[in-house]
Amino acid sequence: MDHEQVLELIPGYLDQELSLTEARAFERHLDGCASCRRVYEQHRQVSVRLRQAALRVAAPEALEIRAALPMRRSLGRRLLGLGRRAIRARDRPRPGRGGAAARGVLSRWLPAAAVALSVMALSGSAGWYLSVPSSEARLAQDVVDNHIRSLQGRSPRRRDIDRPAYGQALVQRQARFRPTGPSISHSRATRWLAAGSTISMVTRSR
Amino acid sequence: MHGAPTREADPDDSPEAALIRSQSQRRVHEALRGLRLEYREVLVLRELEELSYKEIAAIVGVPMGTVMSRLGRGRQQLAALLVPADREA
Repeated sequence: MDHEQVLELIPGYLDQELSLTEARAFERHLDGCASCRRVYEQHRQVSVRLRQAALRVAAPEALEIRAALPMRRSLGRRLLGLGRRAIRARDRPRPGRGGAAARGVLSRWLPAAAVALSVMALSGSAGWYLSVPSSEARLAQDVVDNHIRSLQGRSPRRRDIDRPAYGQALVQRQARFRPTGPSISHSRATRWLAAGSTISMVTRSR
Repeated sequence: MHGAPTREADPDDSPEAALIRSQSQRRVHEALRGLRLEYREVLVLRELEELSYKEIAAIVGVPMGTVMSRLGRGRQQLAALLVPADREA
C-alpha cells in the first residue's frame, strides 16, 4: 500500500469501515511512515474534537436509564439543555414495538425529566448535572439549523422534497441494511428529516 | 457519625477548565460552519449522528467511496481552520 492509498483510506480506518485486510495493510504502512502517521493523527484529533464539542454531557451513573436503554438520546435536546431522556424500566420500548410507542413514552417523560433534572441540578444534591451552557446550546442549535437550512436549499430536488415522506422512504431503505427489524435509527432518520426548526436528532448511546 | 462522602476536587470541574472547553467547542462549531455543505453534511451525519458510510451514502445520495473522500477532505479542512483559530485563542 503506497502513501496515496493510505491517505485515501484514513477516514475509512478511523471510522472502522475498512475490511480487515485493508486495515492490516493500512496499519503496516502507518507503522513505518511518519508522514502518514502525522496526517492520520490530525484526522483523528479533529474527529475527537468534533464529537466532544457535540456530546459534552455528564454521565449520570446512578440512573438506570443509560446502560440498557434501547432508545438513543436526543442530541438536539441535550445540546439545547432541555434535559435527559428518562425512561422507567417498565416503559422501555421492547424490540419490535416500533418507534411510535417509544416516542409516546418520551413525549410524556421528557417534560417531567427536564423539570426533575433542573431541580436536582439546582439543589446540588444529586451529583449529576447538565454541562452544556446556554451559549454552547445556542451555537449547537445554530449549527444544526444551518445544516438543515443548507440541506433544504441545496438543490431544487431537495427543496421540493416532502421531508416526512422522504423520511419514510429512508426508513424502508435502511430496513434493508438492518435485517434484524426496525431500529431506533429509523425514527431518528424520520425525525431528523421532518424536524424543521425544532431539531430532535437522536444519537447512539455510548 | 456518617458524613457525606467527600469528593476530591477534579481539575476538569473548575470554572477555568469549563471556560477553556467552552471556547474550544465554540471554535469547532464556527469552523464547522465555515466548511462547504458537501463536507459539513457528511461530518455531521458521521460525527454527530454516528451513521455508517452506507447510511450516509443513502441519505446524501452518493457512493460510499465519495462519503469517505468527503469525510477525509472535510476533516482536513476543519483541521486547517482550527489551527489558526486555536493559535489566536
